[in-house]
Amino acid sequence: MHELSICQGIVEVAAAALRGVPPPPPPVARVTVRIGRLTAVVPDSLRYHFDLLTPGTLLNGATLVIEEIPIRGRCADCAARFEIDTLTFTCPRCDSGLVELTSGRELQVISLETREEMAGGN
Amino acid sequence: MEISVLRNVLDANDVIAKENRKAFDAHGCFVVNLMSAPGSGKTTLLERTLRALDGRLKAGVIEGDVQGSLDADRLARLGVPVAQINTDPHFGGECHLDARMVWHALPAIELDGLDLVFIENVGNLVCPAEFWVGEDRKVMMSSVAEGEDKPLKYPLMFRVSDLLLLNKVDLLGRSDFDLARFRANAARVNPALGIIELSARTGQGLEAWIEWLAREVETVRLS
Repeated sequence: MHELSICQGIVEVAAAALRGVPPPPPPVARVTVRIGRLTAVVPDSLRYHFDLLTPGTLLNGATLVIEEIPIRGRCADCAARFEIDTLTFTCPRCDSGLVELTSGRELQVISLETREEMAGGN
Repeated sequence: MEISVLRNVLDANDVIAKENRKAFDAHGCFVVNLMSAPGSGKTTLLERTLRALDGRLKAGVIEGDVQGSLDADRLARLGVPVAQINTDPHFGGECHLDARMVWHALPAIELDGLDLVFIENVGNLVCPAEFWVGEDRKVMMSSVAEGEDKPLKYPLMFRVSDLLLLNKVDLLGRSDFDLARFRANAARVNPALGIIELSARTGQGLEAWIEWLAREVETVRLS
């Protein structure tokens, strides 16, 4: 997966969120994202590209925090809920193929934490 | 201070995909996003398909490639409307089509009168799966020459697709491809995924594909 353009997307979403805050935009200490395992995004690569891309932007100096979300399914036949880690998308209880994914495809910016808070904590 | 965001990274793409959808709907076009690894046989299948649809359904193509117009030229020879998207140089040499690229291609194709638009994506089993470009259906192709383990190596592509075309079945007797294992692997990753076995080269299985298209066009028309 092309982590660089995903990082560009993260910067765009963060910039839009910062537009909702009275100017000037505060420095950002942390950006938290949620990445589902089915997207095949590599967390280390995402961090690497984030660090390359963010200097000089609204996210200058920010750390990328990645929540990795497992692939989870729900059986439409027997309502069983289960985690999928071996790429088997059939129900482990009743073997039905009617499995709905409840998580695993996330590619989301969850929150931003601005710098004043971090500085106060030191 | 914590600012709650809760936005999808690809939100900007989906906003544009909805605009593409509106443009297609305004002309009553049914749109198929055709995806596969490079060399699987998408363009050859489209040549066969467009010939078979002649007189039955009017179709056009939005052709996506990193460089060049080889595929668009092949298809334009069949007398159908074709628009070419080159991701290099216009879109950073991207390895997939996204909604913005398709949006830019719309003025180059006359949608009026078209029943069906094929968006032939860039050859890539990874990234195209992630981007809705405004299509009605995602159709993926895998071929006998690629081996039976593709569903396990590219689960997202196999999961998001509405139909799987297994191409190059004319090679079945001449390769080690294990068809039963391929079907089992595909069923494991996406039990609901229908498979049509065909050969774009010989025409075997083409009728099932054409019937699927005709049925899907009709279903969307009636809804």
